[in-house]
Amino acid sequence: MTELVSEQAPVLELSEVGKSFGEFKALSAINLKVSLGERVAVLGPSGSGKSTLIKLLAASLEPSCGQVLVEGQDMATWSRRELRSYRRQLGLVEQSLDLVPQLSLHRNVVAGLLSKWSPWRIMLSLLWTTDKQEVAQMLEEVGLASRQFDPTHTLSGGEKQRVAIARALIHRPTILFADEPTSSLDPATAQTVMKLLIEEGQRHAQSMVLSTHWVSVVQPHVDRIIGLREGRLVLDVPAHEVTDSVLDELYAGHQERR
Amino acid sequence: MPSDLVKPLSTREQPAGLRALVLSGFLIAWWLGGWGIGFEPGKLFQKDGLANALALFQGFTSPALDAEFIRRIMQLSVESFAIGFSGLGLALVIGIPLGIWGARLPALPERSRKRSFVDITALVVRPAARSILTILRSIPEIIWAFLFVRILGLGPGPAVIAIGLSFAGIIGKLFAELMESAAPEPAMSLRRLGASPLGVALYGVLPQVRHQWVGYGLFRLECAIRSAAILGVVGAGGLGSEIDLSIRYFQYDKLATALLALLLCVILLEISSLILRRTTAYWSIGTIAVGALWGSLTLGVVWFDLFTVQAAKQLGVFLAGFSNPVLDFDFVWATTQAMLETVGMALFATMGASLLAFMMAPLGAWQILSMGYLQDAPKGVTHQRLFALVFMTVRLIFQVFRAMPELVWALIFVVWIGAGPMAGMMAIGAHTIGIMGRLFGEVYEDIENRYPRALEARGAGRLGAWAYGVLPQAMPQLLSFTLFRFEVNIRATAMVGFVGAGGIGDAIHTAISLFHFRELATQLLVLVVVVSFIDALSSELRLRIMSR
Repeated sequence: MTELVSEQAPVLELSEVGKSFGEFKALSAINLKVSLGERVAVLGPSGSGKSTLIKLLAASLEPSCGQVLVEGQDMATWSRRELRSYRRQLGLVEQSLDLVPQLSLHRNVVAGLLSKWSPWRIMLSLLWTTDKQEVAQMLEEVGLASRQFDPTHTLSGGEKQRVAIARALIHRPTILFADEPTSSLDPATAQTVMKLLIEEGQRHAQSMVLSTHWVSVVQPHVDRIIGLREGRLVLDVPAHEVTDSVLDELYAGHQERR
Repeated sequence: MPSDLVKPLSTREQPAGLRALVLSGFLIAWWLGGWGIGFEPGKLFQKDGLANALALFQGFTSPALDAEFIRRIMQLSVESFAIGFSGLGLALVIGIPLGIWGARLPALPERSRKRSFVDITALVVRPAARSILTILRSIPEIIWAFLFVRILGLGPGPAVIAIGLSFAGIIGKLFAELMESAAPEPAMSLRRLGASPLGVALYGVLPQVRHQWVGYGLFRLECAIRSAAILGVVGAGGLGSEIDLSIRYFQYDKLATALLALLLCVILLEISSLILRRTTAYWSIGTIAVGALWGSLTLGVVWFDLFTVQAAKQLGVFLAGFSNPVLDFDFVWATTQAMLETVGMALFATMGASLLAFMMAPLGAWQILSMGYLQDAPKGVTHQRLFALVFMTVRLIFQVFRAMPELVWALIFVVWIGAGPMAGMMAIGAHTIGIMGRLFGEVYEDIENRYPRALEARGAGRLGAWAYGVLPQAMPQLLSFTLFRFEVNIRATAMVGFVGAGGIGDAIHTAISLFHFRELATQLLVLVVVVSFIDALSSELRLRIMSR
């Protein structure tokens, strides 16, 4: 697979994509194109398929029907190697905190570089502390520089999510995916973490796709807003065109929107 | 950079390379130490030794299968079971009260009052119970067995007493620790109602630890029967006597039969223990109680012999030796050196075996071998078959290595490479590989998949996901198990010395053989002091590793 460089053509394209888990249809008949440099927010009530959409785009899930295309290539035809080389250009921040609790912050952040390392480098990195400067700088940006060598299980939820942001961005990904990055946090922490994520994402990644309920914080910083409802794409407009009435309709019968 | 001056330094920062330096220094020291003790891999391939090993191996191709010998082996196996059961019964009778007395029960926070009589007893009783447990535990059962063989004569009786005493120490200490780690609230509320210490123990603490006690008791039953099967080496009945005889007279066909019987017993034991663990606790308690009763009735030991004038005289000589140990500097120094050799052997063998087990364990853990910790694990039929083959082979190796007790390994290696510390280290190492391989495998099976899978989703390869997602989860437990095994192996190393495999066991064997009870007293003293010191050190270390 080549590097993701083309400016005009859509980097990511979903064509008639559906995904079901057993009987449950999470997504159906999704058509979507994302270009390089775009910043996209995915909105929608809980259970509308936001996570599934992001997982499909990030190659963490395979679609039940339809195609996921990256620069025109169908993901389903890729070898393991090609799959890895795509994943290595992504940054991923998820709602579940998948930081290894036994490792130090440093090692958890360094794990973001694993995809670029040779087996030797990986084994040696277990003995030597490598990339200290790089990690220190990244942790500095998320405000945790002083705790680089603390074990991760000593952190609070908000702090863990900051580390997750650092891990997702340390290798300068082309596209940053964030799947409800603040849903497990209290409102005040969530707001600062979300701002940090957007700010850092703009600095280090070219494109951003993030799912959230947090319309007000996100709206000024994204180019485009996509709305999902019951597994269907019901909204796809430039961010500045989104009004309260549109959102009311999207979230009708639900209260999660903030 | 000026900002570095004001930036607070993290307390846990490790300079780059320090970890590697410490590790390599440790490895070098370990190898040097090993050679100092006498680890010479070349000995494995000497002509005479290889010929002996080959003869031994040939015995397994044609085990002795005549009806009479088989009947004898079966009798001895049953005797081993009887010894194990009644030994464990004795251990529980001694160990449980000592454990309860030795445990620190939750107390109400109170102003210090004038000490009543009961308080003073508690001050004396608890340390006394603890020290008795420590002494019982530090001396391997084979020493007790041989001692009582010399005092009471050959037969299964000494083995029962030996297992009873040394297992009482192990069981009592663990039971006490379990009681102390129970939640204090129920006990406290009983205290507030004015319950006596016994009432608190029985109603506030015991109900919480009952299941752990039973589970551990079952595990100890396995150990007791395994132990009973080998104590015959010093003349204390059971399968061990046949194993010892056949090695001494180079009858390797009979040896093969006896070892296969031992293997069968161990497998039978593990299966029945697995079944018992699935039933309620009453089944386990009942099995142990009935077994102990059956054992002590069928063994036909004349317990009255313990109380004859003859036995009293012998015991008197033994105790007299203890009241007057040899304390001249040369002898104490020589004993300390022998003990240090034992510790060195145990360290070398434990580390070597753990390293090997660490490398082999992923192949014996299905979760890791089949890469089940990844989202896109290889799913082809060829892959699955290959994995299954590797998995079964590795598991079989672990099982066989584990089923053969250290002492049997020692007998084999003494035949193969001659007496000395090298044989002892090989024996301890071989058994430890089997134990650690299985334990490490179990740790690996228990890891959480979501961490390696999260790394995989971010493009980390199989190795990366393993090194950063799987290994950190397993490492604290692997380290802790290794340390614990080191403690156990010091005792085991003292044990294999009995068949000429170096260390302090050799010297103790000689002292008991010659009735030199004054020397024996000094040796046991050194053994108890060093073993309990290392135990304390190591359990502190383990606590720190696990709580990190």
